[in-house]
Amino acid sequence: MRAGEKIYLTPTPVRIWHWLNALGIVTLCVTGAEIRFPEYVQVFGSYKAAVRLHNTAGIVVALSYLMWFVYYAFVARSLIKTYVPTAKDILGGMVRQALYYFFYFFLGNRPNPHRQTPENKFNPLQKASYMVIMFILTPLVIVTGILLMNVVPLRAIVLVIGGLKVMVAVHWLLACAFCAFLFIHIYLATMGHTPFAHIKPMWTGWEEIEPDMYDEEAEAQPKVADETSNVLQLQKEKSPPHLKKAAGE
Amino acid sequence: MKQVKRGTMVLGMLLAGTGNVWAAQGARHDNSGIIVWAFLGLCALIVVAQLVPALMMLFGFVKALVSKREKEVQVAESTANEG
Repeated sequence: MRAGEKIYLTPTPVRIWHWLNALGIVTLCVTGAEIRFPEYVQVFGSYKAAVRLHNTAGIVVALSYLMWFVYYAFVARSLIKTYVPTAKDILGGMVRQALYYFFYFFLGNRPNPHRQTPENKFNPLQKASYMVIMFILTPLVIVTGILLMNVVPLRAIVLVIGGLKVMVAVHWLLACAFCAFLFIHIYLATMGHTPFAHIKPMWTGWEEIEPDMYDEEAEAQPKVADETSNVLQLQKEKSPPHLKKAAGE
Repeated sequence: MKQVKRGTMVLGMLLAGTGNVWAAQGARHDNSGIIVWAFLGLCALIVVAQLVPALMMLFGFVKALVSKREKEVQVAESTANEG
């Protein structure tokens, strides 16, 4: 593949899930801050309004998470392949990707070590962080949220887990983790070959091949071939006359 | 006059007891419903904005398929007429 070419990387259900999730999590963070610190944060008017919107956004995020899970697990059947890092990713890929994000991106002397394909969409660091987010944090925040929304009917379960205080603390800590992830996610999304190179494909589905990704490889092949032919030519010229005769020249 | 006084007193006593009702109604007016519907509207907008291009592409595929079949039928008919 050549630079400038486009590949279809993000299918429609995943894009719908992503943007519903984005709107939902931003709403949850703001309304959550209003519920936690009502005397300092007053964005949506009353406390009751913040609670109602928080509950609605929570349900939307939970339903979109269900859609994401059903799509990857049963339709695309690529949940593990897409989100779980391989041994190669853990051993060297993560360090290489971290070095790129911390140094090479700014120095501009090396290309992104990860090549995006529909089968291998995420780099090793993305895989690791998304795996924790999607398989641990999101289910936990949904479960604690459902329990907090229905404290009276689900009182027995709340007590078994450790009571209301523990539940609120866990929900709050998970929310802090989501909030931190949100800032890092948006920042890293701007680290393409242009600031919107990774953001636009999340809306359209089509990702443009980065200029320094495949060109080097494509250009390297003829160079190698040229060098090989030059060496053969030199060998021919330097070879003694009896060998040339034997070769039928 | 006495009757008017008594009537006003009774009315006052009756209205004094309805304070809780007014308070409850005031608490309900927090515009939370509008905010929730606005949020759900944005969600619907995302879904529609993502589905419309996909549906248009699907429509394009169907249109291209139908026109191709029509052309094939026309070519077959003209060949049969020539023969």
